[in-house]
Amino acid sequence: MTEIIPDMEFRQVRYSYEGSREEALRGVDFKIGHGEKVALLGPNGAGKSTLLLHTDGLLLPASGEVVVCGMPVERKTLADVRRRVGMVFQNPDDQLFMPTVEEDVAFGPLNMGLDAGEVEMRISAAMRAVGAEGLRKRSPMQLSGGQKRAVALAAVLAMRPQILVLDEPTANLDGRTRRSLMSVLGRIDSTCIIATHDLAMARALCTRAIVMDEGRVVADGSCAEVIADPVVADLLGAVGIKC
Amino acid sequence: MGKIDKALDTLHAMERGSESAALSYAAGTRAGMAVTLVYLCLLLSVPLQDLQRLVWFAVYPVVWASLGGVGYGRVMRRSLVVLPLIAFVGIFNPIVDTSPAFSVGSVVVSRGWVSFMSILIRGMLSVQAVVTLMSVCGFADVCRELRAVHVPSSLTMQLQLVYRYIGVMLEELQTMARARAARGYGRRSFPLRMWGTMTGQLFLRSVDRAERIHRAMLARGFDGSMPRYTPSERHGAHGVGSVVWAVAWTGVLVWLRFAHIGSIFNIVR
Amino acid sequence: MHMSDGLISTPVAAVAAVAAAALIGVAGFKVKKSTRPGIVPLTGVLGAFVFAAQMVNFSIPGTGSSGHIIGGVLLAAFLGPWAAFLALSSVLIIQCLLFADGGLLALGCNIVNMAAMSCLVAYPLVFRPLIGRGASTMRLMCASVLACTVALELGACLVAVETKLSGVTALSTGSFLLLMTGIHLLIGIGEGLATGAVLGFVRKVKPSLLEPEDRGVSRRVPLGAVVAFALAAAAIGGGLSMAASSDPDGLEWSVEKVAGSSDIPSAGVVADAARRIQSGTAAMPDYDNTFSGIIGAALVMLTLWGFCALLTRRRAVAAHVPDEHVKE
Repeated sequence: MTEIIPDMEFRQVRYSYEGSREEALRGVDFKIGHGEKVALLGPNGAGKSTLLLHTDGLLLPASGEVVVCGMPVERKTLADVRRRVGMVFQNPDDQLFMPTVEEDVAFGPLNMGLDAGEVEMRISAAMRAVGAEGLRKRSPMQLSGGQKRAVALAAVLAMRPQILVLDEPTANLDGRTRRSLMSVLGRIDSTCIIATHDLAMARALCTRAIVMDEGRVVADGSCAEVIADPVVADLLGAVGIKC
Repeated sequence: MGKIDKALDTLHAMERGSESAALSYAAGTRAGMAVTLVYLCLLLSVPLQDLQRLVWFAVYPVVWASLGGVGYGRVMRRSLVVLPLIAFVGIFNPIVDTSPAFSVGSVVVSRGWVSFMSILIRGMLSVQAVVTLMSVCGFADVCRELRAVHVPSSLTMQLQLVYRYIGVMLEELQTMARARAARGYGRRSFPLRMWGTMTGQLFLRSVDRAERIHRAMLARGFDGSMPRYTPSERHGAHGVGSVVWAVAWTGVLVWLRFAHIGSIFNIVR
Repeated sequence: MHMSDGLISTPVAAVAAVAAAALIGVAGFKVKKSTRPGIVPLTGVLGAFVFAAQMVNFSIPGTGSSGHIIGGVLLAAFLGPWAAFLALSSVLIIQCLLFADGGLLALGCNIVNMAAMSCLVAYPLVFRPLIGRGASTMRLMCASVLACTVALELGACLVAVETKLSGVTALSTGSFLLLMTGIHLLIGIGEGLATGAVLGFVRKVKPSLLEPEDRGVSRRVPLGAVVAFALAAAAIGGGLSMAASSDPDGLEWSVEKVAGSSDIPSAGVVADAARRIQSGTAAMPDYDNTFSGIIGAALVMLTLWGFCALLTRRRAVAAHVPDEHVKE
């Protein structure tokens, strides 16, 4: 029987930031299979962002291993890892660093070495997927918050990643923009890991939830069950997140 | 603080200017850049006593700004800011050089005054040429064309990044300055220590932001050098049309520079 | 200290442009080779930072004056000389293109006068050697003031020389030099104090951000060399002013001084070309410098403007964009 390789695997990952005595990740362990949509929940400071940075090789574990599509994440595999993992960060202004939207969306495909025709196709497809075709020639400075998030997502989608990782995608969005972003995410069929405080979105989009607290995984199961668990609710509710 | 607001307004106006101009501009950014360079070289080689020729040189900004969709009035107004600075240096000319140049009725105009006027006009016209270029073509396009003509990517990348984040920095600084202005500081300037703290805090936030940007770049495959991007529809036409445009304007400007003018108006004297 | 195109002639602009381009080329190469992670976005973001910092004035308590920094030494203290030079050059280019601050042909001059003097001369030769390792706050402030003053004075001298060589001003070189260096002495001290204030703050909060000694130009330059350099610069400036005449044709004067006599048929390719340009421009002994000629030209321009504006009004109405920025 051939073993199915999980898309993302963390094996006893430990990490602490330079100059900090406390560990940010204390033995994180889980497997995510192909096509799964996983919500990453937990209070602030639990280590969610640190964990996400490990999925793309932006941080390397102090001990333990991160394995992406069967490939261990280490210095020589970083380029391949980053082809498969697409990461959308919290602040869109940090990800749209080119003078125009189309240059931002072209950045990833061009770095992948694709030719001009293919790059053009990817840009059009990605912009269409997020509903932002008309924004191509605009400067990111002129976009609203919601438009920036959409374009930041398009810039990652243009690389056609196998695994999509998002850090607080709906933070600070008004109702309409949030709903439109959720419908875009709902249509994407790659594996997803979404760190969020937005439990309603987690329940709507994700089948599984991993809950973190103080650098450890404290719950891991079906989204509905995990969120309904009173201990988890208490943990998340303790910082004002409504269930 | 008015400086920050003005800078932000200029930035936004430039962006919108090039968007609306895109509809009417036909010659192509590269041609525009080349002709502007030729124009400036010729303009600045006109002798200072040849005041009339300098006035004729206004033809390029006047025509190009109008036909390029920006409007010469706006361009002219923006060029006025340069006057005080040039006048500060130029004003010594009429003081030092009093030999006569020509007379208007009974008033004798000195060479010093002629050269002073020339300096002002050159200053304004050169600014008008650049403002028109940037308003019609847009900064993003100009950077891409620079890269296309093999200006090192280290420089063009920096130009693009600085351009992109100026607005962000100005807005952050505006917030910080306003918070302090609410406490009564900063009408025209801040006390040194407060300025140092404010600027220092902006610096620290900039470093953090730069690190986040770097992570985003790495996540999209950045390996230290910028990829070259050529958009599918280039700004305006290119090819034969723009070459004709460039050659025609160069011809006109060279003729303007060296032709023997003045016979027309002698009749009117 | 931004020079406008009004004060420059094409040959001077060209020479400065070549120098600036060469320095930028070297800087690009050095930054590419740098092993510091994230140097590219850091340089860009700090360039934007310094642009913003230039917009806010500081005042020195006790005096009535306020001013703003250029920020070359400040940038170099964090980025090292070459990356800082690249950042400040980018800022100068953007100021020229988007904000009409400094002329396009004068860019070469501005980059040399402001960016090169502060990042590539004052920082490695004055600031770094004085700072050494672990300097006290007072030492940091003194080094900033000295480095910034040197940077601005060198820049001011260059402005005077460039303007004089362009034959644009009727002032004598001596008086112009005196004027520029006098003004910029106070500005330099101000910038030094402001730079020291920021560096002091950052060092208190996050000292690791200051450029570590082993990454920059760390050879210890003895103070004697700095003094000798300053004396040499003063001597050159003084020599120029003593030899200067109030002849407005600065280029002709300098060509004459260099070639010995303006009648010598060939004194090098450059002098030859310069003379050809000069004789070409002087081929019309009688410019039509009459009042009516000038007014006539101006009237033609106004008419042309009106004509073009009418021609394009229809198109403009169709694509009208309001002037005020509407916040989204």
